[in-house]
Amino acid sequence: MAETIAVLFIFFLMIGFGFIFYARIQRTSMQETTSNNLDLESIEVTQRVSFLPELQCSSKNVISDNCIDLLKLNSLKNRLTPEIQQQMYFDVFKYSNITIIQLYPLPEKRWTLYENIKVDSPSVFTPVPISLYNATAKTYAFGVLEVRFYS
Amino acid sequence: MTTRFSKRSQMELLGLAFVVVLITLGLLFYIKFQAAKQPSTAKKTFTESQKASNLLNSLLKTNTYCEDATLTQLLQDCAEHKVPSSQIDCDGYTSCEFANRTIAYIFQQTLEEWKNDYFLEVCLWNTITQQCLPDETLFTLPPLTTGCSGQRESSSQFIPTSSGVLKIWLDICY
Repeated sequence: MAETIAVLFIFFLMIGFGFIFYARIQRTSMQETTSNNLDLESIEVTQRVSFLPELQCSSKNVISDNCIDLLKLNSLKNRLTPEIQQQMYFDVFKYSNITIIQLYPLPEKRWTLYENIKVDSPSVFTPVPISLYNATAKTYAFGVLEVRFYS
Repeated sequence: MTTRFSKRSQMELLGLAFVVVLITLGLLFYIKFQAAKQPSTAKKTFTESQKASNLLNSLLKTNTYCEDATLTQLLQDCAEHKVPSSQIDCDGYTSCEFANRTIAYIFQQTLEEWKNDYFLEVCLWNTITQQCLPDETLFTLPPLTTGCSGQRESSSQFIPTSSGVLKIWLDICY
């Protein structure tokens, strides 16, 4: 009788350990999936900003990739009030912080285009090198589009 | 009687040992497969490849302080006239030196800030052998390096010059 109890005790102990082990693995795997989804969503938002018609350089209806028109950028920035951000761009950019920085020629210039931060939430940072086109002077500056996406 | 009980308990112990062996085997298999599983590289691959191509495209289009010439024009001048003098004078620097300094500054502000190792090579390209012409490397960044040791994302651009085809090659190491 005592032996059977001992065997059953060990058996249930093992099942218990197995269950704890399985639960931990499931938790890790779920964290990994969440992190992957966050990465993919951040790529999506970065692509949306890069190809935003409101910002893209174009000449005679021909779009140049990887280029932001400074006139369009300044115009959009002035119009993007917090209300418009919320009403018209939340579906596009969700919870993110989008900044465009001119690195060369100096002085460094910075435009915060969209700001909708989710405090205490994990975030992913994606920098994308871009050209900044000055249509008045017909010159290109070197810049970086920085997107911080919050889950 | 005692022998029969002893035999029975021995059988039970054997069964228990069998279960333990099975669980251990399962655990070993699981750990082996987990270790072999590669972490997702979707974002890394995307950002690194986009970084390399965008960086090179934007870089070559950029107008510099030197007579408002683009880096493409400076590199063309550098390949065509080289040292000791170039046609474009950049406040006492040759077009080669100025292009080198400008690219190094931009890389310092971008790739080095993002903790990316990189390798840039500017050379006259032999289109037949698909290699840089011997002794025709204009410069490399970081200076005196030969390339990434591990994985890399590459991007290249070709610029036509009167001295031949100029190849600009950028590797981002990771």
